[in-house]
Amino acid sequence: MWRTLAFGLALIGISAQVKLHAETCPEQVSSEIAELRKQQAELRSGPYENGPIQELGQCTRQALQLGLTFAARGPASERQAAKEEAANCLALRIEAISNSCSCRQLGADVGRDLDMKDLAGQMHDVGSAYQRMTQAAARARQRAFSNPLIQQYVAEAEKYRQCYDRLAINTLDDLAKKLDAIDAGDDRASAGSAPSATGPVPGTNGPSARLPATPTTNIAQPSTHAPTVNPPSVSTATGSGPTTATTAPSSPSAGNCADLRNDIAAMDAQSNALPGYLGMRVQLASLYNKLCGAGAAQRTEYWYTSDGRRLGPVDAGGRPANAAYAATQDIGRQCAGAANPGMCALAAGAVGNCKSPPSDLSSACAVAGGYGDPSDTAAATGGDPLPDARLTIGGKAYDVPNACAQALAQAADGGRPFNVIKTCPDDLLAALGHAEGKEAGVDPTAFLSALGPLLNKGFAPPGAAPKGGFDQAFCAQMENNAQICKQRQDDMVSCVPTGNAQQPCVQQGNTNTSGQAGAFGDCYMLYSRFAGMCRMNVNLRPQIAKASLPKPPPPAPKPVAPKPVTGGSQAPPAPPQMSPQCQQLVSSYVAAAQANDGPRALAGYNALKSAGGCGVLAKVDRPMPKPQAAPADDPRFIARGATPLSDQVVGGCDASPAECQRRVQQLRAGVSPEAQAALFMNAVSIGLQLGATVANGMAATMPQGGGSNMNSIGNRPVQHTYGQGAPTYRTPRNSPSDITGTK
Amino acid sequence: MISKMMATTALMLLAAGCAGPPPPKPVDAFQGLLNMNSAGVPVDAPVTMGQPVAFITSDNVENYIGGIKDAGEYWSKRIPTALTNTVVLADVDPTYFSAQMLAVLRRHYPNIERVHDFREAVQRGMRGVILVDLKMKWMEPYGDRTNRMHIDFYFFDAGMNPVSKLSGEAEYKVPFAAMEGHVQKITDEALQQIDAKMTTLVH
Repeated sequence: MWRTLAFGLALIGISAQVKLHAETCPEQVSSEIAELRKQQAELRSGPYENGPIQELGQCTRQALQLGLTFAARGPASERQAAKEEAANCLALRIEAISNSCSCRQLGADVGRDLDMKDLAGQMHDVGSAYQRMTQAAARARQRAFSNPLIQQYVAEAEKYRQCYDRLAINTLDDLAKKLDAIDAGDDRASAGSAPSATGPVPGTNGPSARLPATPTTNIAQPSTHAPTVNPPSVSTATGSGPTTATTAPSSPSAGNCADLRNDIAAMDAQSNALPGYLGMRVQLASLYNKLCGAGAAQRTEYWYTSDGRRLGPVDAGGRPANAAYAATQDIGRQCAGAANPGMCALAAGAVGNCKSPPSDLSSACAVAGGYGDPSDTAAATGGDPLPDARLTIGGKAYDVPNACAQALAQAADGGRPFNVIKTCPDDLLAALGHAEGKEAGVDPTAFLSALGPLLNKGFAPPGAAPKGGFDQAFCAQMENNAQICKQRQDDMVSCVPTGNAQQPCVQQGNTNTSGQAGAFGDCYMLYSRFAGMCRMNVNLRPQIAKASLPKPPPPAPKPVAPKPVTGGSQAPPAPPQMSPQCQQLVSSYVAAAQANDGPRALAGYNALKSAGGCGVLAKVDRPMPKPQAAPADDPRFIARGATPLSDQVVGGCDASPAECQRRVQQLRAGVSPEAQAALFMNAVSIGLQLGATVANGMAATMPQGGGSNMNSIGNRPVQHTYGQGAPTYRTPRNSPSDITGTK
Repeated sequence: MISKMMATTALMLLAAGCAGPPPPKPVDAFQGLLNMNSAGVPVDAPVTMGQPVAFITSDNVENYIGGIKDAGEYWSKRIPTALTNTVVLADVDPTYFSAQMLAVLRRHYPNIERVHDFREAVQRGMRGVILVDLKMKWMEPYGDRTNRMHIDFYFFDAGMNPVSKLSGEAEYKVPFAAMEGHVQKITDEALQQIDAKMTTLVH
């Protein structure tokens, strides 16, 4: 089998190379990819062969890293695993050659001379080099956030990121070194020494047709399956220092919207069976329409004088001396006469203001700088309308118009799916009804109520390979990115002109959904959607595939044995047949759960789930019901008594965190070695004084001459003998260290 | 020599908290708040919290602050002001725990709010609550000379159901005649453990 596969792959490679010499580059690539996809589909066709747990091959691991597959370690036959590995090798080849035309212009190749395994290794090495570069960029942003060199180096690196050859690795490493050479003093460095950009530069921090870098993780980047296209970079850029230019002047990239559109279409083709897909697709469509729905002319920014007079376009050159702010024509009109027109325009999304910004915009530009320049985005060029989403149900693909997708996404989210029947095509409704077993035309209520669970289960075709889900760390990273975007949205405060001289500007907070804040909002929504989809697919694939398999016919009824008449209780049913491996998994999981050991129970659960549930998990593993808000008069609640001390101490810290932290500093100083030494010296000193005082007091109570001489009834008076100590004298020091208390 | 012994004795009394008022006995973390027991809450279970989030401090926290206050008052009547062990007072000051605990919470939930009890949390529309519980075992001058701090964060979902408990614990064995019991240090250590768990398990 292996030989057949290898031979087939070699043939593909040879035929592809032959064709490449005969056609133009895009044609070559297109036909080659089509051929590879065909081979891929063949490899993945046919019934899925189950078997023992299989390890991932090198191509599969690399494809996972790149987000090209959802395969994960799981049960399969050796032949099935080999086919999946070969299909993923093809996926890598497709990924590599899809960028070959642009890479060739850079002087880079895509490793056509490499065999599949070597290509996987090469792609891994390029990925590692890219990661080193992004880490260097993150470090550089920590030191000099607003240095334009950082973005330009990163933009340069972006061009080599998907060129899988030695030149790309060397270039990425060189750029990492340059980024590491930027120090804090370079914060206002000019762009003069920046690498020359040959052609359009997609904004790396800002929206681009590819997923922005998330340099702090090794996670797969879902560039194909889940094209999270335009969220701002959320890596490390939180600086507040003065900002100069956010990007070099650039011309709009004609391909960005098309790339974005293609990525979404690719996602439609490959991922539409996944739970949570529709919600994310709706979000992407919304974003695409927002970014690509307007022409470049509507988005060109101009410089304006403080009285709203339009000057030249921002891209034409530097900031004119009399320029007060930059904005598109629409925004320019809105912000003319505002108390701070620059801030007004920036809040509305005109980041051209951050090219040599005045001091009052520096902080805001630092935030905006994390998003990039919209002139670099897909938005700059406009784009064709997005095609309808698709759902593949029972092996057949159905068009899902946007309104229908929205209604279905709402149903999947637990909302009221009233519009589904009205907005979705009949054939789709029929297919959904068939999958549910409840026809929309017969019983609409039953159909609609079963819709949410059906959509959340996904539509893996019968017999599909039980692919693994997203990695948990990846999902966590998506959630974290969502939170960072939310935080940035919250940090953006729009200044809305009122026309009132007394109060010329009203601050509008994070509810703003347009302009810069809105961009961060988009980022938040998109990452949230993806995180949601990710959570729904963590290690779920085997279960989904299993649930989608056609149910076997019920076994013929066995003759019923007569019930024993003795004994009052029925014998327990025989346990289902289970493999030793499954028995081990189940017993480990149960033991961990009984021991209340969360992490071990979670690991056990995941292991059991990735083994397909062993026929028992599905019986008990149901999604947790969404917690309903408790009523205020919930009988579980006890009316709590007063907590004056907590109010004073904890409440005080809660009300005045800064003051509380100052107190903490004092308390820390209070236990420092210096404080201890001072205390000890003080105590010894006081103790010595106290001893002397007591002794003096005793002496003071003694009769001072005259009166009776008690010698006759008492012991002999003590004389000046050190051994017993004269009351008013101290013993001489034995050594200087006595007084320090060290002896 | 007498004077040195007196000074040392006074210091030891304060450092040890010896024979002062007995420390408060720990109670169940849910006491006074919920008609249920905290024993069944899953340990270290991953949890996704809704927003907004509030926090509540348990009766043990109130008792912890009260115990320190009582001990301070007890000794202030018996030890001259000039002999007060300011190092111990700084070390055990409950403000330290409060501030550090709040810092951990805010690191994960910058807008977290303090509420008095669950009823208030529901009335204010909270979608999640973190109950902070603290159990302190103070050193015994003539017995187990260990200061041990155990902190639990109980996570409640929007239905105010406890869904996870994350714990941190640290201890310090106080050497004889030590100046202080490293309460700040064990507070930091215990909270850091919870902080790390929150980073991993709470979303």
